[in-house]
Amino acid sequence: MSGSPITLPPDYWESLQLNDQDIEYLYNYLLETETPCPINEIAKLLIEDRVGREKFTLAARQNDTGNLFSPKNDYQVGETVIFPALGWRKGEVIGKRQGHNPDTTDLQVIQVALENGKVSEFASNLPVHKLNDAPKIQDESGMLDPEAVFGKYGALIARKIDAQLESGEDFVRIAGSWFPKALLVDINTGHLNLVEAVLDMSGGGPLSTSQLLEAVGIPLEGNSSLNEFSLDYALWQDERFDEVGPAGQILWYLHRLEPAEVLETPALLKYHPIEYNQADIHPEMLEFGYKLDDELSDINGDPTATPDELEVRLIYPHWRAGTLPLSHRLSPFFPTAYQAPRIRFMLVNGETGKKFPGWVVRGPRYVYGLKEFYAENDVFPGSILTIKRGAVPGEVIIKANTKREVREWLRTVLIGSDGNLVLAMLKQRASTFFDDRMAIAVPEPDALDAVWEKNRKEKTPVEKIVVKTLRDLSKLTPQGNVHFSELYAAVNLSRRIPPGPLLALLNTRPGFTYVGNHHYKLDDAEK
Amino acid sequence: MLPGSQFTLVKPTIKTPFYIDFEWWQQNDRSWRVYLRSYLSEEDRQRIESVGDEQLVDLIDSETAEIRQVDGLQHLLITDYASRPEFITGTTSVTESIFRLLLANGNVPLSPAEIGERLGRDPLTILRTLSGPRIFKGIRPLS
Repeated sequence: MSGSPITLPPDYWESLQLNDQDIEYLYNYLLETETPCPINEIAKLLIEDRVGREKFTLAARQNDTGNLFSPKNDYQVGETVIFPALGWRKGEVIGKRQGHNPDTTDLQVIQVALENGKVSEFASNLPVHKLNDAPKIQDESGMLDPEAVFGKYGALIARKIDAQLESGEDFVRIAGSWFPKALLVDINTGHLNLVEAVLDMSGGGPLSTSQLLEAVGIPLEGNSSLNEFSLDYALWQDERFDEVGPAGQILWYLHRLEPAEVLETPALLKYHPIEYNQADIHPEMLEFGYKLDDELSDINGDPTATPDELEVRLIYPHWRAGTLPLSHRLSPFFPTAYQAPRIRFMLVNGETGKKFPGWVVRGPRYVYGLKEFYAENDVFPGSILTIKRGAVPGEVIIKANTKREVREWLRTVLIGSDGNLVLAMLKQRASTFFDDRMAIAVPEPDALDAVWEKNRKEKTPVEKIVVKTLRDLSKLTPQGNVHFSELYAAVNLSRRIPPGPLLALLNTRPGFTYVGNHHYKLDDAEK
Repeated sequence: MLPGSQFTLVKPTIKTPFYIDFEWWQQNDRSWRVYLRSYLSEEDRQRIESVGDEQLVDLIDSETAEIRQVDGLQHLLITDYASRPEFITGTTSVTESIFRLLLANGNVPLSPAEIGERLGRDPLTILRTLSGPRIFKGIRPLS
C-alpha cells in the first residue's frame, strides 16, 4: 500500500508556458557560457531546470506533512486539513459524527468544507487506508525524467521557446542558435565593408564566418564562437549579405552577386494560383498527380520513407529555366535551412563526377543551377533524371541517364504561322532516357518564349489552352485518348499549371471524358 | 420547433456519464431492493433480512477516503458480491452487466467509454443500448 502520489499533472509539459524564471535562467546560462546555444540544447536545459525546480517543490510538499489528511487521525472541528488525493485542496473540519461500517470499528466521519465550496465527508480514526502512508514522489510516466521529457515533448517545447524568445528583444538567433544581444561583440561598418570586399573578391561567396573573420582581421582571441556569432548577427542585419548555408552550417554570400534566377523566380516558373476543389479530382488520379513531382502541387501523397534515389521527369518550364522542382518527394534530397531562404550547395554529375553549384530556393520551391548540365547532357523536356544524396553532406548527385544517341519519333512543338503552338510527331535526336508520354522536343525555345509571353499578356484562359492542347494531342493518337501526363507536359509548354487544377478541370468541365487508366478524351462536340 | 422553445433532451455521447436512478424503480412499481436481493445467496438473504437492509452504512472510498452512505444491501453487494468473478461473466447480458458494474462502482456514474473498457465491450454498442427510448433497469444519463 502506498500513500497518495506526488507527481506533476499529466498535461504539465504539453501546456507548459515559459515564465520569467525560465527566461532568467536561460539568460543567466547564456551569459555565463558566452556561447550561442542551439534551440534543442536550450530546450534540454530548460527541461532539466524545470524538472529540478518541480522536484524541489514536490519534495517540500512531501516533507510538509503537518496538516495532510490521514484517515488514521482523529480530527477536531475547526482544524484545517490538506487533501493530497483531491489535488492538494484545503478544507476545514466543520462537523463530526460516529461512522457506521460493519468492516471497521470506531470509525469516525468528519464533515469538511473544502475550499471550492463543496462539503464532503471523510473517514477518520480508520487504521487501514492507503492515505495513511506519507505521500511519495511518483514518476511512473517519466514526467520528471529530463531525457524522457525531451524525447516526448522536446520539439514542442523548442517551438514554445523559439516563439517566446522571438517576441522579446533580449535574444538574437542565427541559424537556430540563440544568444543574449547584450553580449555581442561590436562589429562596425568598417568591418562590414571589408567583408563585402572579401566576398566580392571570391565571386560572391560562399565563405564561412570563420573565413570572413580571418580575412577582415577581427581579432580571434577570446571566445571565437562569440566573435563568429556577433559577425553573423551583424551580417544578418545588413541587406548586402545573404546567409546561404544548409541547416547547421553558416555560409555567407554577397546578395548582389547571387544569380538573378535565385533572387527572382524565373518567369516560366511563376504561377498564378487557380482555385479548385481537390474533391473534384478523380480518386484514381490523386496519387498519380502526386508522383508527377510538381513543386506547386498541393496534392499530398503517401508519406512513406524517402527512397535512396528518385527519378524525376522534367517539364518544359524547368528545362528552360535550368531548374528542378522541389516537390514533396524531391525536397528531402536537398539541403534545407532554419531561416535562410536560399541555400547554396554542390551538385555532382553522377556520370562524370563533375561538381557544380546549385541553389535551393525555398519559398518558390525550386533548385537552380542546372542550365549548363542540361545543355551538356542534351537533356530535354521529358528526360528522366535521377536524384541521389551525395556521400558528403550538402552534396546532391544528379544523373542525366545518357545513352547512345538515336533518332526517335517524338512529339515536337512548332510555332504555326498564326503564332500558336503546333504539336507534331517528328524524328528527333535523343541521347537521354526519357518518358514516352512526357517527352517533347523543343527545337525553337526562343519562339516558345514569345508564345508564353503572348499567353501571359493576353491572359489566355487556362480552359482554352487545355481544350486546344487536348485536341492537338488527340490527333496524334489513333483512338484520340490522351494520357494525363502527356496533357500535363504539353499544357506546361505555354502556361505554368500544376496537376491539381488541371485534374479538377478535366473532371468538372463538360466536354472532357475520363476513359480510365489515367486517359482523357475530348467529346466529339469539342473536336 | 416553436420559436423560443428549447431542446429538453440532450443526446448522450460515449462520454456522458450514466447512473442507476433508483426512483425509476419506484415510478415503475418495482422494488430494486427485491431485485438486488435476488443476487444474494440464501444464507446472506436470510441474514440481511434479519438485521434489516435499510440501515445506512458509511462506504469508504479506497482512493480518497471520502464517505458515501449506502444501505446495507448495497454495501454487501458492492464490497462483497461485486468483487466475485461470477458477478459479471461473459454470458451476462449487456444491460445486466452494466447494471451490475454501476452497482459494483457504488453507483458512481460511468460513461459508455468507461463501461466499455471495464466490460470489454464496444462503447458504441453500450451507448446505443443506453440512449434508446427504453430505460433498462433505471440506468439513465446524468443530466
